[in-house]
Amino acid sequence: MMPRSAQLLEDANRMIVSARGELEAEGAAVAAQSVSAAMLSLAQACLDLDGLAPAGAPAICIAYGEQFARTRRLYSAYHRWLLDSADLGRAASGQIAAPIDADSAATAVERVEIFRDAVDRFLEKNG
Amino acid sequence: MFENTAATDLAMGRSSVRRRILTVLALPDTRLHLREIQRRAGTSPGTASRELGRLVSGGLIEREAEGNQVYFRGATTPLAMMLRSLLSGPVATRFDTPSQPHSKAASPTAPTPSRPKRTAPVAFARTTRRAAATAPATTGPARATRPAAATASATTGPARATRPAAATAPATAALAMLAEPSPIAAIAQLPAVAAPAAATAGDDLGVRIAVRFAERIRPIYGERLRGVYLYGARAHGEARAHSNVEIVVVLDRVDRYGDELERTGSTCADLSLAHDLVVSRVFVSESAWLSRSDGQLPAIRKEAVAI
Repeated sequence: MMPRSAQLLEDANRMIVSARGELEAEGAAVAAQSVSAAMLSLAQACLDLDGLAPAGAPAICIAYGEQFARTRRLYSAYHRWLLDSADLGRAASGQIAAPIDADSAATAVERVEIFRDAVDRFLEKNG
Repeated sequence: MFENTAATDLAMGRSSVRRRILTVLALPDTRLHLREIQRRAGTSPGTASRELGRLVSGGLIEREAEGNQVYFRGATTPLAMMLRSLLSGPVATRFDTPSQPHSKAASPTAPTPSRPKRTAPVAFARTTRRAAATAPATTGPARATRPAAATASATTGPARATRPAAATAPATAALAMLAEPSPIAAIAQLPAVAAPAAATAGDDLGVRIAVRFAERIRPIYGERLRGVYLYGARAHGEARAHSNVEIVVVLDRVDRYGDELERTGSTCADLSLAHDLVVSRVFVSESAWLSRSDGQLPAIRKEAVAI
């Protein structure tokens, strides 16, 4: 595994642990934002493998879709989850969207954990 | 002002059908039968018939019988043309002809150019589609489920316009329509707005993707879907090549946010992949969309392009 990928994976892990805690203590919205950040970090770790380092959430989502969803190198569902988590994170700001409920945040945490395991395996295999 | 007032917004929502009908009939030499008007205005035959009746009574449009078919077209009286150009906003302006006097000069209620464009708060006419079955949130990639799409079952009954023709309706009737505390009076005093039936602003790609998005989620939500709007850079026409396509989905209610993400996730991902950009959406309940005055929602309501 490349050093930057490993670092990004570690960052994601920390955010996932944080999201689990936030789910209990600080509420769904805070947890949703952590999940969103963790998903982006995991996507960045994958892109790093290809020598890509896009900046900003939209660029990461686009590049990830192009490199991993379109090519089916990873399940296309993960790309969908990445976009969903970004929208959930945006919604969590409470500026526009309806409130985030605890079940939705909990589902997002479960998904980011599944994605984290998949990325871990992928990087082990390919890095 | 009006964008923060639920009552005014509701009035705008009710009257948007009337406004769309006027927009449809705003073009010179346009003469259409009820079904075509109903289709273009995106409403039900009953609503179209009722609104057409009111507009005929008010002298804004004319009714013509030809054999078994009844046609409607914009009344040609100067007052009707002036009112139509006021009420139908940008379309009337775009297709302005010498025979259609400009509302700005003609009326004290003409909108001031500096005021922002505004879309009607509820874009879709309520149809008789049934809401699709809901899908549970799934956690594994293999279990991602999509709700079954319901089929449209819009009723298409015969035209029931029973009011007498009023090709030369007196000006007083038209003025009474504006004087009464009805939605149409409110519209006359509002700035020109984008016609909800067809987006008139926003960049082409953004609008096209938003339309595609709306087409795909409409069968999923049925009557629950109250509107789809494009906002952000793509609505302002300030987008760059990879700017997000930002969409507001207005639903009857939003109980579990994750469920709505799940229902629209495939559409979002497919469109994002197909166009090499990010299609993002936010879900808002109808009541929040109509009345919420905090956060970014009021600003988004002003700038949003109805799809």
